[in-house]
Amino acid sequence: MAAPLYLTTAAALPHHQPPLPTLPTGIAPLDALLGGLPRGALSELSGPCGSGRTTLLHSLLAQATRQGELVALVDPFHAFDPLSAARAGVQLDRLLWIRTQADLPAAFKAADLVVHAGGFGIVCLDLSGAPPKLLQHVPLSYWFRFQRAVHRTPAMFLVVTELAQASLASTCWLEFEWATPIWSGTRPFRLLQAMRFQTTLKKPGSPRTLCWEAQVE
Amino acid sequence: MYACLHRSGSGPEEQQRLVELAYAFAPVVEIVDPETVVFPITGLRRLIGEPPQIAAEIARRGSERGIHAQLAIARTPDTAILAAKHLPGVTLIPPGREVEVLESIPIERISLPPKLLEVLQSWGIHTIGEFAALPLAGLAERLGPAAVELYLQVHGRLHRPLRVQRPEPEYVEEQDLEEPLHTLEPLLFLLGQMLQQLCSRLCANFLAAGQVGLELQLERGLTYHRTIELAMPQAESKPLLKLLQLALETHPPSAPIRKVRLWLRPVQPRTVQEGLFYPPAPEPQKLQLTLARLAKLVGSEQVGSPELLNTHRPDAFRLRPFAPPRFSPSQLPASPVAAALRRFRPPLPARVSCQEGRPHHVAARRITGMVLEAAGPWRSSGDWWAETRWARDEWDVALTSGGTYRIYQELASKQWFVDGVYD
Repeated sequence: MAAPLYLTTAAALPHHQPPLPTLPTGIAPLDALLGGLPRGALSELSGPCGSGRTTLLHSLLAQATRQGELVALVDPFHAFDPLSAARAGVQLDRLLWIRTQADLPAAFKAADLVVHAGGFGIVCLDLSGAPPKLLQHVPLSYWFRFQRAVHRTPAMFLVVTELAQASLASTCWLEFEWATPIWSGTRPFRLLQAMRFQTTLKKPGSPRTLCWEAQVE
Repeated sequence: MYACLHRSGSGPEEQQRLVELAYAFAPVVEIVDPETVVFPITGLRRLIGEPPQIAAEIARRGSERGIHAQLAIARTPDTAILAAKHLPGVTLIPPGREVEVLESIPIERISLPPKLLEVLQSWGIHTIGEFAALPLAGLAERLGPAAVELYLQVHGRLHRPLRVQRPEPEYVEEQDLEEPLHTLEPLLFLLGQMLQQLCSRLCANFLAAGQVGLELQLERGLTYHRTIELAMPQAESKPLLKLLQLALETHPPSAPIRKVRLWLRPVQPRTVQEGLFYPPAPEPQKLQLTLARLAKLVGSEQVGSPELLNTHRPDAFRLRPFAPPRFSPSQLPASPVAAALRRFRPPLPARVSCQEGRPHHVAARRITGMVLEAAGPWRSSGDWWAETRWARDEWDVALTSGGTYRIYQELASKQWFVDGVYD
């Protein structure tokens, strides 16, 4: 017997999900495309070392700390440069920097502790430089745990990697290509003036590529 | 009625004994100056008797403690102070007969404003008796409030509450153990009970703990000290117990425990009213626990906020404890997007071949390539007056393998390093 017309299945219901609030990145082309990175979600920045992920991360940290938010960076390989961050506008006294001396399990535990403490605008786990073989052993459930911890909160969980690891759990995935330096002057009096970065938005939506620049001081 | 004890030339120890003697008779004591204390004795009438008996009892207990002080009992505190300071021995002033007792005291021995004293002496007033005979209204008109106050004092009519200074209570719990403790669990049970006692006492006085101290007497004559500074004052025992547990797990005692001493430093609780539209921040208690857990996980020296040092030395910073400032809404200008340097710590030793004085090929761990373009050298040096002097030539190089790096050559050792990558 056919179902009455006024009855329908849940899957057939129109899916009204309010858009996630975002944090502007401070990089005009990215903000024009995305409106910022989503809060209450896990985002991943992947690409080779030297492709612009850290520049984007510093810009995000600067945006958040300028608004008075506290941010946390779990840095297992001790690669964070406070001077670069300060030049990008990061208020260092609002940044909790956790170094784990290349201990990846401790880095994951530290990120878990911070993200569950709540109240941080950005929690970033910087896994750039970690051996890919080790990262392959990270269970997918870890990423989903982080994603659930920030779900429906104003916090953002960021993962910085060389090869995408958390794309299944991420709401936003940005892939970076090798950066191109921009030089000024003639040889031998050359000066590194800026870096041109190429970023592909892999998630959400269909892939879109854009270029942006950052000044070298 | 009030009693006043005065002993001229008292040192800190004698003052402490004087205060202790006063507290033996009254719950509240005003310490007038290092040599004088005054306290109420009204409640002692039923316990000891009339003022002469009370005076005798105070004198007896004072002599037992080796205190030889001048004692006065009067209707008001200021009259008692006046008598105790200027009349020897024990002085009892019956109500209404203050002037009779005090009249012989020379007026210049009383601490009065110099101008008032000068006027009184020019009038031929030299004793309290002569002063007390003046009319109050005339004194008020001609000499003002200081003279009126003195007049009321010598007539025993200046009633005021005592300016009580309570001694700072100590929040300390101690316990001697019959059997030495070998494990953490029973110690935590004991600490939990002690903390509950201390925190309830703190709460009763509207205070919170700013610091927790633990002292353990161990076997073989060893002692164990641990002090925890609290970024946010707390008066709840559970978070404090958790902090102690984390500290004990990170730095366990080296021998079984024989005696436990726990103390809290009392501070005013911090009350903060956040704005409705202020950004969210972690709850202070939760943040403190999280920081303690992180310190236990990776070491306290690996957690904190970076602070740039005022030097030209590359990569100069220190990590200080994470204590974010309160948010103040202000419009800070946005900084331009600056390329970030991702550092290699320690810097990667490299083999660099040069042509015409410029880097031509770079080889380091995981980084190898021909130099496509190079900018430099940027020479910097510093601390030439110290052992830690440094001097180096920096280059920005783009490699054929991809990536733009900052490399440098130490001028002293001629050794090349890769400092970081523009990422």
